[in-house]
Amino acid sequence: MDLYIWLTQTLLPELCESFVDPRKRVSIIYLCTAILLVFIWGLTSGLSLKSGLRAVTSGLLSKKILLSRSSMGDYKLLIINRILFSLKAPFFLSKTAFTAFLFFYLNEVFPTQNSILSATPVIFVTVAYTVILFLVDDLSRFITHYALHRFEVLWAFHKIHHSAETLSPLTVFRTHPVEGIIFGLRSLLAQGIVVACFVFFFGSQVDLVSVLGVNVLIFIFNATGANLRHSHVPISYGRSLEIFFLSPVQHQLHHSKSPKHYNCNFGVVLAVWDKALGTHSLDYSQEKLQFGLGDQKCQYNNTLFKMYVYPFCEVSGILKRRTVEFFNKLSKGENSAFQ
Amino acid sequence: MTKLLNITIASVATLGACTTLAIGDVYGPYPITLKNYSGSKTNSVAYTGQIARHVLHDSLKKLAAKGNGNPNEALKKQMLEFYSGKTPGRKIVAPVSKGTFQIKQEIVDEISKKKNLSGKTYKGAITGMPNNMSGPELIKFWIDKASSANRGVDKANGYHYPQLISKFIMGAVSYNQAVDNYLDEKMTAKKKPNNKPYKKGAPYTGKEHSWDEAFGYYGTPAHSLSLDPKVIYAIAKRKASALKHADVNGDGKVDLKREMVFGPAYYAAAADKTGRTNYGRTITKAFIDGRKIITSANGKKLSQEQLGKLRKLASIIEDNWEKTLAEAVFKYAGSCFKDLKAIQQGKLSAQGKYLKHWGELKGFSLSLQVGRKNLGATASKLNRLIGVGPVMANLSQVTDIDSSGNYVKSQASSIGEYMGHMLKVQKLMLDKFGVKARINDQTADMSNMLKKLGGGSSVEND
Repeated sequence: MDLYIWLTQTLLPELCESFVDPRKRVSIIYLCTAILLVFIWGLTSGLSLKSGLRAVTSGLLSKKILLSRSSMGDYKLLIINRILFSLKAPFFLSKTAFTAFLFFYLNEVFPTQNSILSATPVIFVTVAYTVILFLVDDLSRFITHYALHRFEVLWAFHKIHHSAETLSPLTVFRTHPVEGIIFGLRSLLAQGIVVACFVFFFGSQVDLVSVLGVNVLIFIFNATGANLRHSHVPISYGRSLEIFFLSPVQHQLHHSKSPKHYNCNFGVVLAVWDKALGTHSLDYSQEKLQFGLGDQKCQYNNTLFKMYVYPFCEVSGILKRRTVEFFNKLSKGENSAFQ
Repeated sequence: MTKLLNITIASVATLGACTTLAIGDVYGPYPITLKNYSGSKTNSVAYTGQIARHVLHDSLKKLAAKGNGNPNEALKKQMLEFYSGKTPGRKIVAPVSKGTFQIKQEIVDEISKKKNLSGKTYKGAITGMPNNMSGPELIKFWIDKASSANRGVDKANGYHYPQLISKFIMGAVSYNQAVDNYLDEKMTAKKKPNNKPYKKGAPYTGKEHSWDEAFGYYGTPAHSLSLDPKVIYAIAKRKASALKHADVNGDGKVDLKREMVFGPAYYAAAADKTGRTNYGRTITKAFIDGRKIITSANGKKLSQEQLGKLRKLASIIEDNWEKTLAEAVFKYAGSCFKDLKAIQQGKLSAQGKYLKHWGELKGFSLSLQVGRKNLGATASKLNRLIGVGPVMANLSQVTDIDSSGNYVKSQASSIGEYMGHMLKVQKLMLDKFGVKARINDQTADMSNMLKKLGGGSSVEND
């Protein structure tokens, strides 16, 4: 009975929430706008209604993609992760508690600055909050993503996402739970810092410039094809715009199995972070991209158990290897000291 | 035989008085259990002295706001009559009838004679104010100041005397007497035993009356377990719509002795109205349960087990009463924060509200410190954060009182810093007392903003 209540009152509503909540990228609104964009893209490429429909059916809603082994792996991870995270592990730090802690810390460090900007016009504060929150959020996503590729231990978990060989909007859910925790901490840090600073300096609640309750800038990003980042539709914004904003095809490049495309385009919305770090890439031609891990050994085979467990085995191997290397270095050092 | 008759009459009276309530939901009447009682009384419950003190307090608060800005000896004398006098014939200044909300009594003596507040005020030093004044000394100091202030408010120094006097008395008299005297010392085996009358000729035992007096200080209607916190709140405000709920015997008037709501119960209801706490009901139920234990002893000495149960109930009452005071401190720290923000934004009209709220904050914070427990470092921190006086718009702040009773002021660093103090007061109440109603919670703003952002537990890649 308890299981039934949990299924119907917790799990199912939470699963459905992802598809109706406008704050989520895979909300039905954004999926519809993505389909519309692909249709228009197809229409303009082939100049016929048929070509528009073909673009939708082959690039986005193709059986080959949606029922592929890789996509099935995405769905399994979506459901099981949702079950795991609906249990609300007690070790998760409360975002409110963290924000309150930061807020009181600011009070300690800057005792005379509390609400010092409270006379600022509301419109200015609202716009500033919207933009700063967006920038901090986008930067923190970039840093997290970069770290997931840069550090071997983190890459072991992020590899699961990159093992997708077909991309669909639901590939965003192809995530190892450890990554889920990392993303949660990222969100906690980014939102907590911005909210605490704004409430501290401006003295009270600050509103967002929003559409359907979502930061207007995130809404624009989601409504203009964010879901196509994980798709087989190579929509480009044009090189002049892609210097500032990452297009769907640039993220597809990030997922390419070709070694020449490794470690590029880590950003989400803005290209400026990649530009600054030298990882920005516009290196796509008319070649059809293939996705996955390429020459790296892929042992997961879209099996749920393997996708969950193998990263831990890999991390254990890495740690063992590192320990051996550390002691080897240490002993070499000692030997050379005696010579 | 007489005893049996008394019990029967008392039981019938109980049934008659609360036809709509289940037996046991009302505090009294309870039968006479005292052995060898030969008087004509049938009810052993009595707490009229405490109700008289609530009325003296309400009246004193009202009088404290009657000054015209010039020294007024007559007003001071009148206030002192309500604080330390016992003069017969004192007319009730508050609470009085309001529209259809008619109050039965007009003279304090109709409730109880020869009562004052000073004799029951906490005698220890009040460390939250300068010069180590005792409770009565501090109240008399404020009475003196209030008599010469315009409507009780000293705008130059930032003191709202009616609020300071009122909120401090709620602790220094009601809370202190209940939790540090009647529910503490008088609940030991030796003091006021249950097999003897409270005093010679009284119709109640030592323990019965001690418990009743503590209940009286809480200031809730005897039938309040059947009332919603919103109704309790409305009764205290003398709303016409609340009359039918207060007037339980249906005589068209509210009997201050059994049907009215006073300070402590009013503030418990204020917190309970949020739906996040249940202080009023918990306290009242504990009082009723305790009284039943004492009544069930039937005039015999209480056993160790019975005393143990009473101590547990006393602890529940004390804990919830303390939390009620902490909730009030939390609430008014939040109010002061909001007022200061308005002042910082140039809205000087917020000054009036600020002084009123600060008076409530200071009064309640001092009240919190005069219970049975020594709050130690928490009290020191609270007093340091709130200060001796509020930080004014021109950054002046009273920091001391000289030997002639004049305020000594100094310059605060900024309004923002004092706003930070208000937030720290809220945090202190949260950390040390676990307040839950959290009215005017300034950190709730952050919680609302985070809720709007969402994205808590999603496991999504970029």
